[in-house]
Formats: sequence, C-alpha cells, structure tokens
Amino acid sequence: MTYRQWEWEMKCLLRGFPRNEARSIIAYYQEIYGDKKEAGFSDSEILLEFGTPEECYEKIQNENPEIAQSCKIEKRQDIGLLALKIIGIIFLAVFVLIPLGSIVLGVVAIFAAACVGSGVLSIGGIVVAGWSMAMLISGATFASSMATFGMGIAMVGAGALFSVAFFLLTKYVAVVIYKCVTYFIYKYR
Amino acid sequence: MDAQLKKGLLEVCVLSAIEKQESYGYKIISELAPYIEISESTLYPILRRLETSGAVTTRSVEHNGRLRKYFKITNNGKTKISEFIDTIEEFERISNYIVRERKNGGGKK
Repeated sequence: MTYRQWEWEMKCLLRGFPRNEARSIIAYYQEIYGDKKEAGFSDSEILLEFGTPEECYEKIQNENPEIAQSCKIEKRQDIGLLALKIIGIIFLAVFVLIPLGSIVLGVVAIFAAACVGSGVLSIGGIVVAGWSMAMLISGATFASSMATFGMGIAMVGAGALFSVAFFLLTKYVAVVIYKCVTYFIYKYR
Repeated sequence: MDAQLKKGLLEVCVLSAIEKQESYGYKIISELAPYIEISESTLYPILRRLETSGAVTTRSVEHNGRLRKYFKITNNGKTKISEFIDTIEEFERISNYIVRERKNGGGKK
C-alpha cells in the first residue's frame, strides 16, 4: 500500500468526523509522513509505524470519546440518507446510466467499425491497384488502367489514414470510459 | 505499564519535550522514544487534548513546501508539569514506604 492509498482509506474512515477535525488529523499524518521521508524512511516503514487506517481510526476514536459520540449520532442519520441514496441510484441507473452507457458503447462500436471499414478500404484499394496493373500488362487502355490504378492507390491511402485515426479514437474513448468507471468504483467502494 | 498511568505520563512527557523550546510532531516522538513507547497515533490525541486544555499553543510554519505545526508550552502547561512533579514526589514517598515495609516484613519471616 502506498501512502496515498493509506491516506485515502483514512479519509473514508474519517467521513463521520467533524470536517475540521478530519482535516486536522490528515494534516497531522501528512506532516509526520513528510518529516519521516526527509529522515530517510521508506513508505512501507512509515506505514508500518502508522499502523493500518482502521487501527489509527480506532485509537483516535478511543482517545476522543466526545467525537465518538458525535460520530454515532451522525451514523444514525446516515442510515436514512443511505436508503435514499440507494433509491436514487436505482432511478439514476435505470433512466440515465443505462441509456448513457448504451450511447457511449454505441459510439465506441461505431468508431471500431469505421476503423475496420477503413482497413477494408485499404485492402480494396490494393486489389483495385493490382487489378488495374494486371489489365495494363494484358493490353488494356493505358489511360483507364492508370486512372483505376490511381483510384486504387487513393483508396489505400485514405483507408490507411482513416483506419489509424479511428483506431486511435476508439482506443482513446475506451481508455476514458475505463478510467471513469474505475475512478467511481474506487471512490465509492 | 498500566494503560491509564501511561496515558497520564505521556501528556507530561510531551509537555516536558516542548518546555525548553517549541517543537513539532516527529521531533517530539523522536525525543520521547528512548524513554517511553509512543506512536504517531498515540501522540495526536495527546496534542489535541493539550491544545484544547490550553496547555500548548500552535503555529504553522512552511518547511520545504509543506506546512509543519509547532507546539509551544503555555504557563498552564508549565503548571501541569509542576503539579506532576509534586505528585511524583508524594508517590515516591509512599512507594518507598511500601517497599520498606515489604522488606521489613520479609525480614521478620
């Protein structure tokens, strides 16, 4: 576990604390961490001395009974809020997330299809160019064969350009979606 | 060491560590570590209690691009140390009596 992960877990545990108190606790650990890093300790050594976020949280709660009491009151209020949140999430999922997700996946599919189609265009261009050369060699009209050859080359070029562009676009959109999903999962787990 | 006894000792230890000059969290732990077991998680509530009770004042100073909180003892804090020393002297008198009586009682057997 890195210090950032440790701090993130600690922040999650301190959600029930008064905001100023939680900030003060985090600032305290940040300061100690910074001083120990300057003194040459590694992240793992520092975190070993800190203990797990759960252990720190329990110690702080045990030493501060008035805060523990206010946390209990806040936890009771939180249960009602949690029920409302669950209902809200269900509605959000049904009316927003699923349609939105479908649109986003559709867009990714379109880009992917365009990438494949551009690749096929390139292949078609190679076939056309090759065929026109074969026609020229076998005695067809020079002008028309060259025109067809040119068209084939153009298809190859356009197909190559578009396939690269659509591939990068598909990859970019997929990476953005992946990062958004992992961010929300990490934040709200 | 008894937990409650240690809790009381730690507060006075922290005050003693900052009596001569103000100090900060990591330095306090480093100074006290040879004498008494103290962790970062133990120190925070102690500092908080001392600040709330008016035994210390705090100020934040920038150090290498980050903030460091310094703790300075107040007269209230110095009084706590004096009261503790008085308590320890009384405790020492009583404990000497107990040990002496034990030894005398052991001799009689």
